[in-house]
Amino acid sequence: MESSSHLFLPDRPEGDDDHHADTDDGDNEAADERGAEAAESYDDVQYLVRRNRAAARKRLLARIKLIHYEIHKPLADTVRDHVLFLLPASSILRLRAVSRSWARHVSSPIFAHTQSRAHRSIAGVFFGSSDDASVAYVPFPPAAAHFLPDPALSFFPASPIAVCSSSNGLLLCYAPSSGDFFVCNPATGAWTTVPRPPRNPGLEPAAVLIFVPGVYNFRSDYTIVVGFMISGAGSGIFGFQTFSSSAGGWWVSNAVCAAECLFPDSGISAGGVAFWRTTMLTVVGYDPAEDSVRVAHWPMNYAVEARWEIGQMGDGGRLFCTAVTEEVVQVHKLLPKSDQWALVASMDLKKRSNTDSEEEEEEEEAWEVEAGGQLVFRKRPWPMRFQGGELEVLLWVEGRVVGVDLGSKRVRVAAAFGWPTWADGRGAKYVPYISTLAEVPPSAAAALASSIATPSPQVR
Amino acid sequence: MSEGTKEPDGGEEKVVLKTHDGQEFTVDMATANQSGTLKNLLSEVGSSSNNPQVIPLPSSITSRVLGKVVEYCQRHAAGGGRRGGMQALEQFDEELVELDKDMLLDVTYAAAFLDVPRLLDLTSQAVADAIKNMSVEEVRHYFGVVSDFTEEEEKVIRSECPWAFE
Repeated sequence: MESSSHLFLPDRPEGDDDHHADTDDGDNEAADERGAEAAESYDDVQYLVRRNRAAARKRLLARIKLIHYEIHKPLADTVRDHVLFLLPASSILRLRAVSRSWARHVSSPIFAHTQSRAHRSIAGVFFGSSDDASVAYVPFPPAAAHFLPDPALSFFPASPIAVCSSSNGLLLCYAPSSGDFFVCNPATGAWTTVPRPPRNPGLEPAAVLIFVPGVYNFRSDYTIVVGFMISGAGSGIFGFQTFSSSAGGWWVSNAVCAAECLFPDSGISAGGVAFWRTTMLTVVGYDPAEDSVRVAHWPMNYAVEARWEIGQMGDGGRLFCTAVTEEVVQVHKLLPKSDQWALVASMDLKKRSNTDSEEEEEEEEAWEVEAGGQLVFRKRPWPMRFQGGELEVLLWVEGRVVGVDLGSKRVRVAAAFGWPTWADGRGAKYVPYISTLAEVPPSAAAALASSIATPSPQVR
Repeated sequence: MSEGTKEPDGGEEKVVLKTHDGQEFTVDMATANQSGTLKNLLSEVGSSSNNPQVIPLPSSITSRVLGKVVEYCQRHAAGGGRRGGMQALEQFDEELVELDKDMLLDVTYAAAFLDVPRLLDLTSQAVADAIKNMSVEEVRHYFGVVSDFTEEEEKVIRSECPWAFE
């Protein structure tokens, strides 16, 4: 029993001065003899040797047991450790019921953190209508994987609610009636109220949520950037105010940019930077970490009739843009530290005008895959704001949300959505959403209050 | 693979991987080093061309499964090389995970055991895609898990988020 307290000591617990007791199995005898000569009491040495041998044996047994477990690890454990965190939130919450060890594994906050970093594919799109101020959620199939408990977001105290922006599983919502911002995770129903910004963001705020689930971002801290027009409407000069959940307060930047108008519904975060399209055919990016503004012209030059939208995809946190002209759907990537774009993908748009005779037969197909795996559109799509870890762009074709993976050329279609018309130049409010278990950290002011009163964020 | 180029650096050293069903796979060091487990092992014991180290593998990795893993490691040890090679490699990865259910799980297991990170990513994603739409019962059947919940416990779990079970 004496040896049990030494179980967790490193391999050479006694240090070099006790070398006689610090033996490997091979030279026990020799060490014993040396020990006998050196030590005053033979019994003491015997005791030390025995104690260390017992500890070494226990360590060896534990190691063998571990190796044995690794070799004969049940398949379900391998799946639990390597596959579960790749699933969307809804699937995970369902598969908790598989077994005790799965439920335990999934309920750890580290798992939620890992899942929010690993699961990066777009689950669906939130739509908001500015007419009747309702929120709708359209998931990509399979519906059982991308289901949400309350897609209308009715848990907020305010109504109507507008979904402004989304980032890796968290949503930024705005209540125009009260001027409050909210951050929530629609998969878990956790939400928190953000303090009011110092500058009035207007009825349709150009607000972007930046949530980067980094390795060390255990609290899932986020940043909100809101662009606002300086010195009244019509100046065309925009400033930026930033809320950081770790600092718990707003901060107004000195940086400004001339943008005429930021499209509030084009805001997207890419690599920690908030980007918007402007009415001047430029992209404005504000980096809250460096407090710097960058402006890039769109990649279409004089093709002014092109429809375009920005988004983010892949692991690099790069900004992309989709441009749809009469002939082609192009995807461009903004190059780092420059205002140049690089063409990364191009899909043809072949209107049926040149094959008038077959018009009736092909009416229902808005796109098709040609022999070389190349996607060809028959109807001119609208580009949509996109954000995900895969190389997927979103397009709006004939009332359906179409996700096109540029790598595998796989096409996903979300359930038909009856959006009546796409107003010229600016789309309906739609926010691409990734389903993660990311926690909602309390905004610091709320945390202060809640340390006295009830815990926040409120979980339904 | 057929296009296995003879690199001067360490292309000589070989390792023999022996499966439980007796089949032996002779691979070069660059291939073996794709596996973290083998890399660790070989850094301790070493191996040479005239007296290659024989590494026995657990019974759950059959020769058919190991064949897949070795194929992957060989392709990735050779690297993309030219730009076209990189594309071919991606194509290869994509086709590699088009396996039947049992094979996919076995390769996932082997990739986890041998610590081949990219291969594990590929197969894990494929398994995730397969199970994300499954019901609890289907998943239990798929992986041969026996529920150790009592009826009450399972009822509690299901009642916590009933919408996920609809």
